[in-house]
Amino acid sequence: MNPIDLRNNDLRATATLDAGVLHLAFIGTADASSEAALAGLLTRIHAELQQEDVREARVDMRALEFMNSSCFKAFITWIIAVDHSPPARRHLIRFLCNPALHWQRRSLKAMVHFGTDIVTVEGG
Amino acid sequence: MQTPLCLSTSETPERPLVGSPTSVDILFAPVLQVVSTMRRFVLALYERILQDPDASAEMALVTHELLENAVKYNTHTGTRLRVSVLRQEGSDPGYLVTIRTANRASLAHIHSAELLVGRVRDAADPDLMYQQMILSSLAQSEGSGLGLARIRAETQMSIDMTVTGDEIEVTARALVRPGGAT
Repeated sequence: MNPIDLRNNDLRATATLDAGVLHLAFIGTADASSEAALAGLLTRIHAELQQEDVREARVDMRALEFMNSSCFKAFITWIIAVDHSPPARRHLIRFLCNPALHWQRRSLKAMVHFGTDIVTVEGG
Repeated sequence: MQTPLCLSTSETPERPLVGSPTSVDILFAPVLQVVSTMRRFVLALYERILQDPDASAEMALVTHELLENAVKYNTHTGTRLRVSVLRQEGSDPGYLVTIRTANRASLAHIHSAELLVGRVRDAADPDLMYQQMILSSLAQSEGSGLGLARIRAETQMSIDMTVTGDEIEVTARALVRPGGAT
């Protein structure tokens, strides 16, 4: 997978794949103005990871100031796609959150519900 | 003038806030990029008054989700945000936070919004309702309709709406108790 550097309105996302681990980091705000870009990014990443040997995706949300419900839906779509992938293509999704951003703990908790066996949330 | 903007505030932080509400009333053009600006502004205000980062973040989340809806479905030139924080004493002390958004909308949207608000407001289990709505929203290509459900599940704020002609006013309300519980 080629490195990704997405900039869309107030959102920046970077992604690199290294030794079977996807490092996906978000900075800024994921809101209505960036929901299409975010959904496209996660769809692309999922498609590309299906061609790779990946054991884990580390999703760094620590610099993500806010995420709205539509962008949240994009993550749920991704989680369900990974969860429904063939066993050899399934991988863990580990969210790193920032305890100082109080919305993250509550909001990310709901993500675990949609991928109980593959999603973890750390740092909240 | 491209963007109507009207702002009025009143705050008396140096004096006891009993009976002295803090209120903000803003009218702005329905531009999505402004919503985050408003969220940051009210977050700073909530943190200053409530002295509780967790509760303040909840209120900012509510403000953002309500405003995005009010902007997205607006059929006119102005979206209105009103926030009031009133300190309550007595047997159940705390801050009564009221967040209102108002916009004009199409009749079709008003009907959809009434159904949605009713479902969210009356949900016996807000978490379950939120999860069900997330699943049913996945087939939608745009938007999610999840903002109100998220508010109810993640913040426990009450939600209601009134319609006057083609204007919708959505109100979220909570009593933030000392320590941040709503």
